[in-house]
This record gives sequence, structure tokens and C-alpha cells, in this order.
Amino acid sequence: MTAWTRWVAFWNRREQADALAMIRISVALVVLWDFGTVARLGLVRALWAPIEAGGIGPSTRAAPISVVYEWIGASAGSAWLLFGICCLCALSLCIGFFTRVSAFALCLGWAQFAQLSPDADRGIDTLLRNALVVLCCSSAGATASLDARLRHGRWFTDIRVPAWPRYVLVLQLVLLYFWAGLVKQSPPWTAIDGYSALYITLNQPHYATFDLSPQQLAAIYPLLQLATFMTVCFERLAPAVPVLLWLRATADRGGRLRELSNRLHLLEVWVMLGIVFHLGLAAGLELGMFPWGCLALYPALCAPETLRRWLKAAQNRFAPAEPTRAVA
Amino acid sequence: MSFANAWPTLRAVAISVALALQLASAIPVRPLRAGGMSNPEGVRLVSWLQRMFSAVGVHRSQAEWTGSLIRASESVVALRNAAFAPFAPWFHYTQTGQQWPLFINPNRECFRLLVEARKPPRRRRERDWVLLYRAADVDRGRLSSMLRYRRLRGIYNASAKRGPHADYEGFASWLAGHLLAHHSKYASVRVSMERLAIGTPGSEPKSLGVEHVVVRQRSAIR
Repeated sequence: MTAWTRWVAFWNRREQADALAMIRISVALVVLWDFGTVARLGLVRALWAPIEAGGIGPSTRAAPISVVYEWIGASAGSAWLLFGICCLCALSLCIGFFTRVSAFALCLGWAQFAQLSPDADRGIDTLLRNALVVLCCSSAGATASLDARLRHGRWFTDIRVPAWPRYVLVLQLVLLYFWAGLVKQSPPWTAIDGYSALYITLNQPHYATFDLSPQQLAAIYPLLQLATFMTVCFERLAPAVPVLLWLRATADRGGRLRELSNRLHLLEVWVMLGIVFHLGLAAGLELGMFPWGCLALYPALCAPETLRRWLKAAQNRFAPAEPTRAVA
Repeated sequence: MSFANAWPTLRAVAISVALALQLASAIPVRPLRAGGMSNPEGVRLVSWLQRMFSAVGVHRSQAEWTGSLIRASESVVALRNAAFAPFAPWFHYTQTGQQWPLFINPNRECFRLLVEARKPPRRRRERDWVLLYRAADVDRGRLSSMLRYRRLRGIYNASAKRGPHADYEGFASWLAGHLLAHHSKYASVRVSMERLAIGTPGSEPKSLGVEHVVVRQRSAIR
């Protein structure tokens, strides 16, 4: 078998759609939560309407900077229409109704928001749009979806779908973390400034969730240094993840390195570091949907068989015990 | 060969191209600059290169290494941009990409948003500005949940080095309009940024003064 045929065979693998469905639902929920926050705070007009209609952004009626504004006119009504379409697409993606179309339409609509207010569009928006492009090419709606119910008469199916979208999402996570880790070369992320990045960030009033006193911050300073160091390690070790996944998937082949890696649960250690890292960010910093958006892609790191095994174990653990029959 | 037979190969080719494109998209969009290379991290990188290559007998000065790195990065970025040109519409309309500068440079100087309002100046006392909001501190105007939302912060949060974003003035106008619509007693709103210097653990951040002051009068608000 040549390298190319192995490469073709790798991208031709199939598996159950559980992990992709989980990603689909998680991403859609995170997006809905974020859009819900915009609506709750009354910021739709401010963020995306033209300046003349009460918006902040650079778009004006005279020079519309998005396709939507060129087509239907630059107004607050257009911003609300676009917002409504995006919310509907996110909802539709969540329930798995016209999954591929919903994912792509949401990506395009969301991209219009990015053009209307570039500074309001953050890294997490780009990350989730990347994920939507992958989801629209995937069979993420093959299970746990209205599409599955309409096509097969049941909500959950065992249909095997192409696995490559999950692999691509794993690579997306790897690229995200490795890139972010590699460019963290400024002194606060290194020994030059004593790994002070998190201490500095927690001192920034625009980001810190809690208004900690200087004494409280000084008390936890060593922990913050350790967390900064661990963050850099976690991010720069991301390229090892595909290798660890491969070592896990081929556990039956044996070999000292494979056995050691699997025995030490290195993959689980990395994933747990990631979860703790994001939960820490969610607790300590006001980053909105950033931690949750990243975590929404984590099911990609889990093979569907593993997900099913966990689900079954959880069902066995929490299922009510069979009542003992009285013997007559 | 039927299409069904050819499909796995076609798909593998398409995925390979997409992955290559995404990797190229991860290459920084700006080349290295002489100013950046004089930062501690730039100096450290050059000294690493110098030590590594001198170990194998290649001896070059720091300035030579810096110049080579800048020229190499310019070539790589030019190549990236040229390779990207045919796919630019896709990236434009989907706003996707692989640039992840997440908290790359937490600066020891940062800003704190201040929002103040003033009544019509009938009496001397009323000419004073009333502090309505100071980030992570005062919130008399009930603005906290709105101003701490990530998208809005992305608009007003000024960089300690580069200053405020392009939409900062628009943000100040919008915020003034919002406040004056909800508080009829005020005649003007002042939005500004207090520069803070973050010191060593145990010390209070020190105020370095107020910058980027924008004042909006009720009469000027649409």
C-alpha cells in the first residue's frame, strides 16, 4: 500500500455520527447563547446598524460595507433581519433541520456581522465559523436531529458517516492552540517577566471577572505563574494530540511507546488540561463565549465508540435499580 | 473508473488542498519589523539563532541575523499573499481564517473605561462631572453588563501602544446617546480612558492619567 492510498483510505473512513452531532448541537447552543446575550442587552442596532440608524460600526448608508446592506439597504431593519436569519439558522442547526444548509447560511450571515463591525468580531467568532464550514460538509445531522427523524423515522440512528470532518476539527483545535502558543513570545509569557501574563490579565479591569485586591492577587501569584507556564505548555504540546489519538486508536499494535502513552493516559491528561484551562478562563475572565466555543469542539477528540461507551456507563450508573420481585 | 470509485481520491485531494490552504492561512499576515526585533523576545530569538549556528561554525552578527530574518519573513508573507489571492473571495465572504493572536501580549499598561455625565450648568456644583461608570469599580449608570460584553469591549478597549480602535468615537457617540435617552437630567456625557500601570504583585495599579477623551452634548446627539 503506497502512502497516497493510505492517505486516501484515511480520509475515506466512516464512523457513527455521535461526535459530530454533539459538536453541531454544542456549537449551535453557544451561538444561540451569544446572540441571545446581544438581544438581551439591546445591542443589535448598536453593533450592526449603520451609523445614521444608531449603530457604532463603520457602515453607513452612503457606503455599505456588506453584501446584505448592498442588497436590501442599510438600515436598522436590515440588521434585525440579518440577526433574525442567523438566530433561525442557529436554532435549525441545533435541532438538526436542513443541517448542512443551516450551517452554511449561519456562517455566511455571521460573516456579514463581521464585515459590519470588524472590531466586534473576535477570534472565537472566526473559530466557530471555521467549524460551521466543516459541519456543512459533514453528516452532523445524521443522528440526534430532526433530519434523522424525518428521513429514518427515529431521532437517533447508527448510520456510519464519513469521519473526516471530525479529523479536520481535531486539526483545527491543534492549529488554534499551537498557533496561539507559538506567538506567545512576549516577556509576560516567558521567564523574562516571570510568567506574569495571567497576573497582568487579572489586573486589567476590562477583563477580570472579580475585583481582587492587590494582596489577594499577590497571595495567588505563584499559582498564576504556574497557570501561565501550564497554558504555554498546553498550547505548544497541541501537535502531539493527533499522535496520541493515533497511538490510542492503534493500541492493539503494541510497542513500548504506545503502551506507555496509553498507560499514562497522556491524551486524557491533555484534554483535562484543556477543560480546566477553559473553565478557569470562564471563571476568572470576562471572555463571553470564548471558553464555551472552544469546548464545543472538544467532542471531536473523542471517537463515537468511546462516547457511546461513556453514555452506557452513565446510564448503568444512574438508571434506577430493578425492583426486586417479591417471591410468593 | 466510475465517479463513485473516483470519489475517495477526489475527496482526499480536496481535503489536502483545503488543509494546505488553512496552514498557509496560519502564516502571519505581516512580516517581522526592525522595531519588533529589538523587543526582548526578538533579541532572544536572534541570540538563539546566533548560538545555534555558531555551534556549527556559522558566525554572523546580531544585525546580520535580524536583517536575514526580516527579509525571509517578507518573502514568506509575499508568497502567502500571492498563493491566497485566488481564494480571497472565499475568505472574505465566510470570514474564516487561521490567525489566532489570543492574548499574545498582556501589557503592563492598560486602559480603564470611564463614563461621566453632567447636568446643564445652572449652578456651579452641577458643573462637575458625575462618574457613572468606571470599569470593574463604579456602575451608577447600570452599564456594566452591557459594557463588559465581549463584542462591545472589542470596540472600545484601546491598545496601550496603538491607542483606540477606529470605532471608538462612534462608540462614544452611541453610548452618550444611550445615556442621555435614559437620563433626561444630564446634558452631556464624557467618555475617556484612564491609563493604568500594573506593578509588581502586592502593589495597586497606578493611574497615569486620562486619555482619549470624547465629550458629547445632548444638542449634538441625533
